[in-house]
Amino acid sequence: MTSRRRSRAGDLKETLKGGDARILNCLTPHGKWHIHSTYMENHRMLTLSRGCEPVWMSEVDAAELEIKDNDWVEVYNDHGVYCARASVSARIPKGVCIVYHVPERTVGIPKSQVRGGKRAGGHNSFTRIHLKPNYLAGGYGQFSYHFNYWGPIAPNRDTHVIVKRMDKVVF
Amino acid sequence: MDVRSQISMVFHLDKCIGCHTCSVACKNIWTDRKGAEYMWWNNVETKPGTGYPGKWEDQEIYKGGWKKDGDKIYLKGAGRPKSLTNIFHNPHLPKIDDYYEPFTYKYLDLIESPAGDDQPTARPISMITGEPMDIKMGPNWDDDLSGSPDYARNDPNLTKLSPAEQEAMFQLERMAFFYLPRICNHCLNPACVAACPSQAIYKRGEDGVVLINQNVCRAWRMCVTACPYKKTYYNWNTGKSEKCILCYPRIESGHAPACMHSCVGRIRYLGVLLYDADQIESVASSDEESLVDQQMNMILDPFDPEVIAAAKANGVADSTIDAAQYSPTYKFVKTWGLALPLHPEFRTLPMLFYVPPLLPVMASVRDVSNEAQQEKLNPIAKQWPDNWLYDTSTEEIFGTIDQARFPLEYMANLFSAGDTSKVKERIMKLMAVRIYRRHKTVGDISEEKSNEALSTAGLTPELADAIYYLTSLPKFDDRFVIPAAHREQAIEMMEFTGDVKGNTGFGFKDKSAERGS
Ligand code: SF4
Ligand code: SF4
Repeated sequence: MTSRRRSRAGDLKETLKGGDARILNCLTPHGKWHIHSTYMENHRMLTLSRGCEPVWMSEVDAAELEIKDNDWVEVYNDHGVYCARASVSARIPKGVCIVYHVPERTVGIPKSQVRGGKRAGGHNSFTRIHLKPNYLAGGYGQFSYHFNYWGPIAPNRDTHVIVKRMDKVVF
Repeated sequence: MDVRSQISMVFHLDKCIGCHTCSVACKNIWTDRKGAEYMWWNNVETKPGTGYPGKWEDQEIYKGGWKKDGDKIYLKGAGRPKSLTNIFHNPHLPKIDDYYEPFTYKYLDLIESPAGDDQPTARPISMITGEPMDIKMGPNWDDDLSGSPDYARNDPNLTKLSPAEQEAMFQLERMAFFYLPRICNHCLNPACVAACPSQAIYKRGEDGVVLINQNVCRAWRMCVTACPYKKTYYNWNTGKSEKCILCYPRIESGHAPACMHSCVGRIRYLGVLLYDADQIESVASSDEESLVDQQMNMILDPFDPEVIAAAKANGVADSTIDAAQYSPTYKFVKTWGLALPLHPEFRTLPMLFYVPPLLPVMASVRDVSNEAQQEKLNPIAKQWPDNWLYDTSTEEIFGTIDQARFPLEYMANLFSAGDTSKVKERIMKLMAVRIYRRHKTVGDISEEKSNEALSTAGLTPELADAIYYLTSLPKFDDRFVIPAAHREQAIEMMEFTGDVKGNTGFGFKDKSAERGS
């Protein structure tokens, strides 16, 4: 493993033991037409997107990973897995994939083949909460967690994952 | 001169944010019904893209619109004589997969699944068959360039660009895209009307709204093929075709259509245009190069006493003539010459006009040394290694238009039958207003330079102020100037629209297909 890869592999230590893979930086942009985490599963909005919250990836990465537009893929790391369809777009830079904030596993999410045939989670299943050093300043109760994730803000929307075409789609 | 009035629309594309509020408003009011699930009378597309239904602009596939043959025009695919040969099978009809198979989810599984060691999920199922399905297409499938290799790169408007130009359009961080909201154009030469063997489709006299009489429609579906914009849809449940009705029950009571009322970007304008119906045939069959100019010419000056007299003689109400004089669409289309029809080469004379987007053509890319980049741009701005300047400034007046990252040819294929000069003229005006406003507000452009920009684009400071106002600051009443309805002309007003809600407002029964009822 190159040092560059090792530095990205903080979220992939266990996962990479399984062998070599292509690592992508996974980002969570603000939902295009959700109100934060809400209304993504509205029937109208699902119809006006792709019936799910797809994983957007670049044409270059998709070609290398032999993923075609609308293929089912698994996005995973040590923390968890998200199963969705791929949206292959010229708009996404190489080395990056995005999943809009925030899909739920209750709508159309298949079982994960890389994680023992269990139902995959939402996009937050592969994120974890990172604390940035500057969060240590203050004393405003910024570490207290509350219902619906009131806590430190979310640098966790930037993580590293492996994206793989799904072998078999099981609901 | 046969003066008639038409309620027309202008969509200002720079302002569209692609939020689809318009589509949802329309869907909720009119097409949330059995048989209409797949219909989006209002839809919003990403351009470049193939749209909904897929590749609708490609008339090699769908045979929509008119074609010119000698001095006359003929329907491309669905004329009455042709319909005899295609009477039982019309090969050019879009299929459900060209639109998309409407889907929902098996939500009940979430609460009714037997206990297990895993959480259930609601699978996608077809709204037509109820069976589990694979979602492969949707009404906004190529949203924001999703699936670029399969969709954006297959945009029918790209075919006239060179491969190098096409490739340049998809370079990351230099690419641009924009949204194209579409409704029925309520055309002056509607192919849908001409194609209907049952004469079920008509253009209302008082405002030019094109409607399908649900009692007369006999499910020929010739209109579906004939409309080059694919804006009539067949309802498989009622066995009738349907289309955008421009929310006429709302218009009659002085309200803007729901898509316009709800538009978040406030891109939509609605107002009366007076036109000369005597010219329809000659304009629709004129040469491709003069189609746009001719269409502009047949729109008449509502202040001209002769036009007013002829309108009155034709029974156009005084209130309608008044509305025509305040019409925002008249300003955009005629006074300022800013708007263009979508695909005029289809020859249906659409009455929905678009102000072409300036933003995608603002930034230019061209050969310039890296030092020049450095000098031109803020030192912290990203430098490109390949001597291309990524320039979004208005410093050099109109300097960026010709090298725009979004080729003008593409815009011209959409809005002016391929004539770039028409698009350029309008883009220059938009840019001149911007330069003028920068002079006014930021003050870093001299008055001299701003005046030069205005005069080159054919504007004056007064016109620029007016354009700026109606673009950026208009109130509801500026955007929608709706003439008072006249009961004697619109008997439908006597109906309480609440009674017929869910019936598209013009009274068909929600039962299975009934022939000749
Ligand atoms: S856009 Fe299509 S449906 Fe609407 S009037 Fe024109 S031809 Fe007819
Ligand atoms: S509501 Fe307006 S801004 Fe939003 S997509 Fe429709 S036309 Fe564009």
